[in-house]
Amino acid sequence: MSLLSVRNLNVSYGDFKALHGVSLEVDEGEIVVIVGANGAGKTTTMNSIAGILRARSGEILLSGEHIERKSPREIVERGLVLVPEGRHLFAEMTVQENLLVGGQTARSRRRLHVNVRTMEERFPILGRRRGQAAGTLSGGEQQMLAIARALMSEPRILLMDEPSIGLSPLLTAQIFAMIREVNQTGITVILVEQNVVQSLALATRAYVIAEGRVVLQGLAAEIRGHADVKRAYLGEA
Amino acid sequence: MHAALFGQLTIDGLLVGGVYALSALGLNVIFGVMRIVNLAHGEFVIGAALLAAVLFERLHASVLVVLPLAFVLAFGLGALIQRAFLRRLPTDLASAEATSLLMTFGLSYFFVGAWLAFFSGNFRSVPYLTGAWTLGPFSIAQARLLAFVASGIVAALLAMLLRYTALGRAIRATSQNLQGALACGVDVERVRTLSFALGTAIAAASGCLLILIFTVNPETGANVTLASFAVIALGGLGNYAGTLVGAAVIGLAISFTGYFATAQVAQAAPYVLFILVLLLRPAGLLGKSGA
Repeated sequence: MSLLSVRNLNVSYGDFKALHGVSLEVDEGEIVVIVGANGAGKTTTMNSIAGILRARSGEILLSGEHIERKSPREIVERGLVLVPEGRHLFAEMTVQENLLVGGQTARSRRRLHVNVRTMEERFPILGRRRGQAAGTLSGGEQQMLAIARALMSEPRILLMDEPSIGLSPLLTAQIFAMIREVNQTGITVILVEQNVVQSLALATRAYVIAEGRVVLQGLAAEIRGHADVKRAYLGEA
Repeated sequence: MHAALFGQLTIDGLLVGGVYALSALGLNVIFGVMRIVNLAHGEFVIGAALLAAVLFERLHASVLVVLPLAFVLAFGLGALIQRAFLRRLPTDLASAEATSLLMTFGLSYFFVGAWLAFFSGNFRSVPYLTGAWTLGPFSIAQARLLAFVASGIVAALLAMLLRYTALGRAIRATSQNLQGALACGVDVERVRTLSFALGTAIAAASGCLLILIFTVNPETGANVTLASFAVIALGGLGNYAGTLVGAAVIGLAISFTGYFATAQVAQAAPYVLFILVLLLRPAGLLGKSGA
């Protein structure tokens, strides 16, 4: 049984149908990347899985349990957390307060504070800036905080929507290294990325979405070599 | 102007401003989290003020005893209104804002009618601590000082709740970034209910203190709502620290215009400031929306 199954998901914004029967399977321990052009439906897929958008129809199963009608909080409690596109930090709150909000669903206060310490050790720059307002951090530090905030709830699956957006190549490489480290701790990762080359190099499997439909799926290496992907996303003939 | 007179008017203005600050803080908590402009806010202030007046007349109950009672009752009423009405607002922001204005306008009229039925249309006040202390050349009205200090305590408790508790962090997080709060698993519906309840309870607390200074009847709620709007327009919508600055400015404007012009001009002063700020500095004196 897959850790996450998305079956025939349909999502609309008013009269505009954004997703047409999207289906995905994600196994435990994988890094799965979703690629596609702007407006293809990648973020809509992520927000629907995280419960932030309500699907018109379709099923989402986490370890066999239906979550398509659960609230975002119930989904976080079940171990699936989204790092949203644009980070969506609480800009006027301190780094430490952002982490504490990320640990809202912790089982106890003690556990919450242990997790804050763990994050500050894992991301030392966040420890040094714990009293600083999140909005004053650099872009790379903000992305690091967004990831740390998501890890505060001890997820089994981390959904990351465009984590490298707006970052320099050096910082992007650091963020990708961080995603690999997170995955090596046993956390399954679903990644939406504009940086197709790097994300396919990192991922186990990949899905290509166009106009709200899955048009291609397979092992990341196979997708990387596919003629359509080369032409559409890698600028190769 | 004589320095002593200037000092006296400043003291009087700041003491009144303190009570307005509390009322406006309640309004700002609600706006920050829910993006709802609550036109019924003044009715909650006046309802508690009239309750305090009636309990003082009949039982000689101190406003300091009535305040926690009114706080709890208003908290429950606020939670009920949120669950029964405001939760059903449309989900898209533009429609929600328009509908919430109409809904809270309707609620305002409902509560004016309800308070008229409960308390009659008579003007009431609480003649409690009617004396004054003399401090050098200044005279400090005991009731105004009590209202100011009590407002300060309630505002400090609110600040501590927002800063040091999980609920406070959830309120601030939802207020600053709804999408981020949802992604973190904040129970946004619960936060909205508790924020509206808390804002309503703070309004009631300010009403219990306002009645120490002003005479009110069930139809004066709209004035309080407008004065509270003027305070948060000056300080910036959603900006809690700015609210205190806005309240001080409004209090001083009322105090100085009341002395140098007439009581009627003083009553109009907050609204004139409100319009000027909207025209000249729409993000407030501190230039920050706080959103």
